[in-house]
Amino acid sequence: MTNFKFETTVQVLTESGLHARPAGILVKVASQFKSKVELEKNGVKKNAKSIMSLLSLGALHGDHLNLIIEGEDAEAAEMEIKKLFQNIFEIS
Amino acid sequence: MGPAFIFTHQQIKVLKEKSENFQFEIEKLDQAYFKTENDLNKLIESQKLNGSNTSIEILEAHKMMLQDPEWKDQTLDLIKQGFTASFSLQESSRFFKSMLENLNDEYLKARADDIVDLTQRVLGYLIAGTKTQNKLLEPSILIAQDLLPTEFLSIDRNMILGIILENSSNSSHTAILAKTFEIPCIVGAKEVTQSVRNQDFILMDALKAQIQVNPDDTKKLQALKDLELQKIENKNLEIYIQKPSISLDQIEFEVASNLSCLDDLKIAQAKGTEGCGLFRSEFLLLDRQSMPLEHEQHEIYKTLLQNLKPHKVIIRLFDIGGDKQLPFLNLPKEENPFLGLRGLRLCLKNLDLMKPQLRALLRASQFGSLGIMAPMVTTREEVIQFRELLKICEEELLNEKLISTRPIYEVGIMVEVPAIAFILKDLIPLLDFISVGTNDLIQYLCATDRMNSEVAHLHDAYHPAVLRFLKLIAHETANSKVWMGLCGELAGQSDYVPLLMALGFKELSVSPGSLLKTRARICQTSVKASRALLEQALKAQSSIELKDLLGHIPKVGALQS
Repeated sequence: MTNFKFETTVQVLTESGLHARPAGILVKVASQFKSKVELEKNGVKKNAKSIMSLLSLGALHGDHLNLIIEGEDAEAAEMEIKKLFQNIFEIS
Repeated sequence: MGPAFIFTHQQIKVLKEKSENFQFEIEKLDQAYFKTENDLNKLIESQKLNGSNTSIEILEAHKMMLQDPEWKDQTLDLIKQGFTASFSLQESSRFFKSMLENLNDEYLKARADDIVDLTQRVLGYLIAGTKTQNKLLEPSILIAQDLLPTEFLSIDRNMILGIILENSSNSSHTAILAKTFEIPCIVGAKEVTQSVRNQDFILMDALKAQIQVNPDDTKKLQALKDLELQKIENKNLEIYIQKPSISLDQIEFEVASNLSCLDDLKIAQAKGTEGCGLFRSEFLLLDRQSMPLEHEQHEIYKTLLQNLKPHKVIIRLFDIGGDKQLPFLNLPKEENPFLGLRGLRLCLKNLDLMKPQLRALLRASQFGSLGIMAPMVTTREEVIQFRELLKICEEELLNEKLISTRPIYEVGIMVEVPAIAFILKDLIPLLDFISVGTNDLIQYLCATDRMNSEVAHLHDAYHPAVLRFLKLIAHETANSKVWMGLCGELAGQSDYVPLLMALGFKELSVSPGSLLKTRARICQTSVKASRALLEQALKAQSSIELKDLLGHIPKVGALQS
């Protein structure tokens, strides 16, 4: 199986940062993919499939985060997660 | 009222033990996880039937944490190092708990409690024979040191008559849930688990926070009768849920609710509240270590306004000081806190506290009908300063493009410092409304500490001075653009309601529990007839005389059908 790796920057646009509800949504979406999904802030990388790690990242409104995805379905995962950030976590 | 049931957690003791067979331990852990998840799913399903969104959210959060891969990986690592599943789980949960606790964020601190809750559940399945015997066989009063949210939710609610907790602060999840389900709950009852035994008979009054253990038969009988009467009365009052508050002679009133948090809101709505006459915003601050942010406040105010639209929502600025102290403000200790730096006085001195609140309020104003009310106002200068700050915040928000048009809202003050009555005429151009807070007003008017049982008899709403004071206020605001409301226990005294109607109070704001009683009274009263009653009442020379006079009115609930 081919492994793809994608790296991109996303911005937190939710007013309360990556907090309760948005963090929960992100975990749900990230967990649908086989790829490893990580978010990085100030050099600290956290597993985006883990609610507790994500909460401890302390991502605030306006923060730019590094999104790193690695795995066979990395491309699809990147698209979905980027969309999530762009739509401010409002699932249509 | 009912038998006591002592709820024990059986703090599960986990020993630091090694296991030879890590495959076996992993299997055990998986099974325990599986069963716990099953339990959570079942709980979620049962809550869905009850339509309780608050509890579903809490349980969904629990489920997500249980599925957290980082947490599980850490547990598995420890198992692979040769420790038992139970010890490994406990260690990893400690790690995550302290990680969240150290982040200095209220929300995450509450999640740390959730980890403890979950760990206990999984351990219950890991360690044989620890399945708790906390099954209620008859409707009982639950007594515990502390009660975790999932513990509370896993008990059949029809079996819980009341809850008495030793620790737990009012803001804890359990207390909030209990309130939502209208289960009487007393927290901070020191040493109750030691002084009460299973099957002791308990009489509890959650409103007064009073507990009686094994009362004698007369008291029991009386309580039973009271309860029965109350049930019948409540049933009779239900017809008023849908009715507007209009007097017999077709004059419209509003019966609104005094609220302290968003969970109160649901109950008030179920009773057909016509808005909120007092939102005690300072409750957002209690049990916090830091100032709430503007956006946190904004969300709460917005929810209130949207839900109660088109009715008015009156939000009182943080009323801190007096008996409500905040550790993070580091205020000096005062000799006389009730006469000291409290209410608007404190806000004006702490703009870091006041401005985010004003900004959050102004931003929320577009979502409904908002009234902003300042507590503990003493001078005209304070009101002018308060209005100026509102203007400054408006300008800021417009400049920052956080609002697009000038916000529309009403400005009012709470009348509790007696001096206000004598300068009210001068304040009228500055105000849209006033709301009389009778609890503190009586305390200041009669110079009587309402917490001091030695002088409790002097803190008397039926003191003739109180009525005559209200008459003075009514006189000063009559024929002006300023409308009058009243938020305090007095609005829930149904025999007093006709007097308030005759005085010209348009809005009566009461605790949700008294709402229907007050509305029923309004619907059964004619303002015209009440004016005659008021004339007589103003002549009463003592509290007893006044009560006698008002006692002639037939009791609400016995009247009509």
